[in-house]
Amino acid sequence: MSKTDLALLILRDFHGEIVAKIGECIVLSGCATVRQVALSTGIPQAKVKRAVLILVQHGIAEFEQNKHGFIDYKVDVNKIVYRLQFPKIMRCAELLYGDPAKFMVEKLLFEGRATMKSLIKTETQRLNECLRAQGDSEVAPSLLEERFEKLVKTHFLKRCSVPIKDARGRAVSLEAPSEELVFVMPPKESGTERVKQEGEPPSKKLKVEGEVDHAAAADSATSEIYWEVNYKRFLQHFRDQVLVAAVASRLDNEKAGEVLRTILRHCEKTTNPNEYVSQPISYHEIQAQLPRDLGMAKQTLEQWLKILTDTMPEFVSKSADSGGGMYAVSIFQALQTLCTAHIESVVEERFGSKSLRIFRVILMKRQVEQTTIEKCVLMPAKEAKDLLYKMFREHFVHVTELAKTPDHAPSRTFYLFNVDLQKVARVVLDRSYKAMKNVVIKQRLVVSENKRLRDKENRKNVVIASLQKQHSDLLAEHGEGITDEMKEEWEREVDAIKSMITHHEYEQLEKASKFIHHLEASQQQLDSTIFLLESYLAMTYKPPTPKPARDPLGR
Amino acid sequence: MATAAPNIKQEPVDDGDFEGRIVLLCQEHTEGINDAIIKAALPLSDSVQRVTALNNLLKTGRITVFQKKGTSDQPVLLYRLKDEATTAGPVKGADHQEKLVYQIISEAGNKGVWIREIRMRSNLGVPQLNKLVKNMESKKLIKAVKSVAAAKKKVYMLFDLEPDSTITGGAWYNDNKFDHEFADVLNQQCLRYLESKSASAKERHTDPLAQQNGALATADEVHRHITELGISTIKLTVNDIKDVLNTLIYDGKIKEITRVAAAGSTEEGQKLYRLLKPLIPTTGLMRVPCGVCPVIDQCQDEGAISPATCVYLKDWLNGIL
Ligand code: SF4
Repeated sequence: MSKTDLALLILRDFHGEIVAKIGECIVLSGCATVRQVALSTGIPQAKVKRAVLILVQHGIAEFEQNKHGFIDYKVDVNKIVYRLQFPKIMRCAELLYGDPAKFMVEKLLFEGRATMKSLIKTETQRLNECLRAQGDSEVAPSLLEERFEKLVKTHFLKRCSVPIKDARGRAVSLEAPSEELVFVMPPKESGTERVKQEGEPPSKKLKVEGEVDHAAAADSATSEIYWEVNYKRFLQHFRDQVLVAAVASRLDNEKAGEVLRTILRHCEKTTNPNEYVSQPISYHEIQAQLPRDLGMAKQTLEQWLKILTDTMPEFVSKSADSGGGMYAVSIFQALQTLCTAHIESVVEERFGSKSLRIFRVILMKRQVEQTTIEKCVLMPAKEAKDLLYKMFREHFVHVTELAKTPDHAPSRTFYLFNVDLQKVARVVLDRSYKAMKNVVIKQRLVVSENKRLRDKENRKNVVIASLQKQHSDLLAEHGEGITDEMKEEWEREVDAIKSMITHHEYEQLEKASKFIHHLEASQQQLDSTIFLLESYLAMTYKPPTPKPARDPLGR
Repeated sequence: MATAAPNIKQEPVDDGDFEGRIVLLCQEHTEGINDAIIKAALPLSDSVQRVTALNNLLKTGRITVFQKKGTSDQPVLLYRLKDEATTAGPVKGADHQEKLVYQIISEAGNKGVWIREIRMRSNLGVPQLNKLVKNMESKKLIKAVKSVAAAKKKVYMLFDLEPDSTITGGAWYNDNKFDHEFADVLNQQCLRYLESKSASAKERHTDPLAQQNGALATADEVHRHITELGISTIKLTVNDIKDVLNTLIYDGKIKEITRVAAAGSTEEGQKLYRLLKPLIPTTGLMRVPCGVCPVIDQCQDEGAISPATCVYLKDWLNGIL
């Protein structure tokens, strides 16, 4: 699977060769104990233990005691692939709750987990350093605290699972915090601050296999609560953004998108993200929650709702007339429509617009004979046949045989063409992962090819900067004493160092940075394809659960 | 052949006699005779013999068969002597076989009939039939028309008939070849018309609803517009335009809306068309070379085809400079 390949590549980038190797071993065997991993990779157990610890720390691996009393580790490939979303997640946090939120989320993403206290302390420092550098005034920890609380309230952060220990104090499995607690802030601490563990790297705090720390176990109450980023919540947020963008694009109007955004904002709070259809919201509520600065008149809102329900029923539907009309978002259908759109885009670009026509005939008619297709598409029968078979060969369209007679003789059999959306989505998804992997590899190649040059450039910059500092110091010290000649001399010195890098080399560097930029942009675009297909397929994997009590966002 | 027993191939013993009797019967009953009458008149015959006789008569074109509502709802088959005028008609002086072939061809109407089928139904040998057909063609009784369904397939029909559109392919076939340039031009022109309609609606109205409704057009309107453009040398019907509009729907570029008929009116809902803006920009996968790559399935990290050696990626990157 291309997804696993990609995941292992990312793991190597983030955590180095050894962790990647161990990760690979666990992924390929499904689940494994430390001993097994050590045996099959030939890496000493102590190292394996450390690597596994890192994986657990980042929420990539989970563990459980198997029936022989050993600890089995499992790696979740999805969690690794989420790393490609880090920039997006940080940007999102920044947009929603400003720099403090961005800093805290960044830290949590890269460290895996942290207590609120240590997080706020380190990040207040880091943020203030940045602010100072920019010449802005500093912020107080209380601001970060407030933002932290907001992030938890809106479910973007959540409590980590806590290790369960057996009688000998070994952590044997992880237990997700109870539903009532995942998104609950600990009660505010009173004056007696406990600073004992602050500053310590959090990885030391996680106790895996054998390490015992009685003190920590005793006061696990407040300061021992570890927090992590709730990916699912971010993904849901991104999903909603995709829906909004789609509506705005189709209706060619941003305001239409904003109407949907308002509805979705409301649904966030009322609806389980796995639900096929959101809880309905009344017209009056939509009106009340519509951002004021949109300046949308009542009548316009009514019209948009009518247009939405009339022309895009796959997105928004009217479920009742009470309360000025009740509106619901058909999340599954909307995703399915979008998934179809992505697949159609693939068909159009890969096979041509004529093939898209054929593909859509099949989609719209569901089961259709070749002759019917040929009639519908207004193109020479032979061409239509060629295009159709090409798509068939690449598994974009499928055939159902319907034999009129029990002998299945071809002449007495109907061949009905159809499209199995989920199958095609999986084909496209796998290719997208493969493309992503290729682009990532290419990017690393470009980086490494230019590493020598880049280092040289950096060295040059450092030298120049220090020279210039020297000169300006001298200037400040001796003031008038510096003659123009000396200044010229200095300039010549600097120029000489500048010419360490030739024009040609300079161009080469320019080129490389353009390439890298382009490759990064492509990764983001690929990510949008992958994201949508994954979201759609995730909803098809299991039927929606019959509504659990409340909050579904936990793992 | 319109009788109940399809599989009669055994040689009739005494059919000449039966045939004569039936013809006589027909002359008596000018309004037509049914099986019951024949049975009554020929008590010695069994059903197989009767059917054989009738079939022979039908084949040689001496009688015709037609359906009539019986006393119950079941239709009954009636046989009648063929009108001298039609039998003789254009094939005057022709022999039996020619008459037979002519009849088979004329029955096929403007859809035409394939030579193989004529042969099967007439029971004539290949050389004989070919000669007959050639002969008739030269007499301008019938003509051969190439079908668009298959390149080599010819069908025969009466000379003065206009071939059906399933044979010629309708407006889209020129000289028996699909004129896809023509179809494509029309596809684009129809789209352009709906685009301009949508744009002007957006200019004229501020109301979203009015903008949406202003962008709608009926097939008639589009048809009128295309006719006025004068891009087509052949006369296009509204149905031809509907075909084109359908391709645009399949292309995902326009949408069809059925306006519900006003309550009480007998008209059925009217079909309206409107431009459809895309839901998403080109998907990410297709913005990198791997999306269109013909060898993606063979591409491996360390293989002959790999991202490190890939020329597609290289050209693509150089393309942005
Ligand atoms: S890296 Fe090159 S060869 Fe491999 S899939 Fe992409 S375009 Fe094709």
